[in-house]
Amino acid sequence: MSVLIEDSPRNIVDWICESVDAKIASGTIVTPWASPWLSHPNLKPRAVDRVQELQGRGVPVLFDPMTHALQMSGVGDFRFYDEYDLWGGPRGDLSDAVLREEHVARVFEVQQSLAVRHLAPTELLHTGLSNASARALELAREAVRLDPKCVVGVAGTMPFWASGGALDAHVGALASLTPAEWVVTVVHSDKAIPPHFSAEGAHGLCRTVRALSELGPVHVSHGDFGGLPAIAAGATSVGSGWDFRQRRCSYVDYAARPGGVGGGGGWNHRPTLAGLLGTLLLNEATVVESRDVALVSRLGGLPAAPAPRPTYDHHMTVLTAAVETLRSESDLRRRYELLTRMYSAANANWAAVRRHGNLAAGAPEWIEPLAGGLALYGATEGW
Amino acid sequence: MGVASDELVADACAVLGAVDRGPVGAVGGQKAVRLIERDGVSRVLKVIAVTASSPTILTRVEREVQLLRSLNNAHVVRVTSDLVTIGTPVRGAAWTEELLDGSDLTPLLGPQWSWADTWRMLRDVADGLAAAHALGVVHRDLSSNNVRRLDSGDYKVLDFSFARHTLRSGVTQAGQPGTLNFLSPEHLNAYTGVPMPASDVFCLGILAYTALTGMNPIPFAGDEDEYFRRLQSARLVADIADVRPDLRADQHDLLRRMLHAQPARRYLNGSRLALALEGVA
Repeated sequence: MSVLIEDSPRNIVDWICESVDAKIASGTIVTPWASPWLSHPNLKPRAVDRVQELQGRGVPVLFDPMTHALQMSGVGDFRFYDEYDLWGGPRGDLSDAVLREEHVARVFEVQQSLAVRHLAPTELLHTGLSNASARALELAREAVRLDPKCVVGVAGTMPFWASGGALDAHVGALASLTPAEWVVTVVHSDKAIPPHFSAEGAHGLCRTVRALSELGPVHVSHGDFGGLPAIAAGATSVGSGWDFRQRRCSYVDYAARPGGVGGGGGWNHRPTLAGLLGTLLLNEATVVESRDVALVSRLGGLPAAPAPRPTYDHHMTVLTAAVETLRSESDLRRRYELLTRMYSAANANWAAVRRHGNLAAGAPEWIEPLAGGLALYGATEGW
Repeated sequence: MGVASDELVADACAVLGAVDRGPVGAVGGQKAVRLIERDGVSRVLKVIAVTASSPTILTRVEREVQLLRSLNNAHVVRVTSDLVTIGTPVRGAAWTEELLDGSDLTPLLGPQWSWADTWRMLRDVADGLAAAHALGVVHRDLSSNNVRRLDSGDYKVLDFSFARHTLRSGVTQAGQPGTLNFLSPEHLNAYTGVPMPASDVFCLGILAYTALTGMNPIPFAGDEDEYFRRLQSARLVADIADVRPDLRADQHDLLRRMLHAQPARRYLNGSRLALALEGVA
């Protein structure tokens, strides 16, 4: 595994299957936030049918309940979510053990009906140690009690990932449950592209993944390029896709839709450049290409055409290559050193691109926080 | 907090049908430890004073005494009675344990131990921890006072988990019981970060490091804030390889892993440590 396609309300199953066939993706994740449980005319097929089709075409599938989206401020896009029978009490109520156990059991029942493995629900955390972290631990404990080989999730905002020893202690408590696999999610309270990272948060993500990857495979949900430091620290895969909502986990993608309409996901039409480990705006790419086609070529080139499918295919190809390049180093110190060199080169490349005009986002947004976190991780490891 | 008075001890002996032969170790505080005879056999009696505000503590102690009584491991002190309560309303609780010969580790630490001696201590204590961790019991106060070397050379772990309830030891800023010089980073936490099986592994790492080097790796020097800062990041006085360069690299690595700041990077429990020890004899 290297890149998993996260869920989107857009009904384009062929892209997923063809990406897996082309080895630019290795599976997909379905959620109750973007896939309906019931049949609707003119919408995606219901989850059972969609998962059957994907599995029939050889695509590995996970179902992530994404319970942690319920704690996002402004959450309100329940158009599909409320079709699922995931709660014994009020939606999102994890306040007592009976309700938590009921929620885990119902999530597992849905996963059994989809014939996918058990992936435990978790709660969104803002710091490592709190009442919420206690509930998240209890959810994981119940999940492991029901299925010791389940996948356990950890989801938090940047303050959680930057919470140092508190983060380490919470992760230690989760690790003591020894589930089979892990899904970690960095949740962003804003909708910035690239998503905002702090160096401390990236460091916490690296430390966590370094520890958990000794115990089992780790997927960085919605990680995209922001998940590369985690890959360097031992993660197996990152999540991505064609929409903004697949490339970062943001409050905005789960918020109530004005008037109950829209919210398809938002095409990410920005062209990806391998040498930048990031994307440009479409007009920025046009300007740079018109002025310095050799530079664009040296950076890995643009999508074959400025259209959704080529842009998506190009992004997946570049991201998968970056992930697999890192993963080809079995030694974690060499992975760390390799990504450090990749970030150094990307920094220089962003500077070269910037010479052709101002950019909405450059190395300070795409590279520096992640590189800073990676450097802190390296120092922690004594490298 | 109540006091385990002589009157409470006498009542405990009456309930258990035991004859008091006098104190074992220090006298005073919420917990009393006495040598007794019961059915012609010498035992250790432990009595704790219980206040009206601590009924849940009593329930938990009772559950853990039952768990440990069911634990039949050569490297854990054997609990030989159920928990009995004293008075109505309850003023105290008591249970008995086997009487052990030998010495606890405190007077034995100082001179540098050989790897073979340290390994044997690690193996026995890890085995004892593994049995308790499998029952969901965390020691939480593994210090040199709570590990005993028997005359046979075997080691046994004492006072499993009871420290948390009896408050016999000091209490850290976060309210976790434990013994200064023998705390883990998790002793500073609340909520989900409180001592866990990997914390016992850390504390055993402190014992092993101290045995091998004659120095505590994270010593308390009188200033709690300064001590807790070092403890939180598991900052050791020196890397084990600098103090004991004669040991092998895999032996150094074992100690480093036991004392890692991140609990998830340590051996997660006694069982995993015991398994690792097989490879570094």
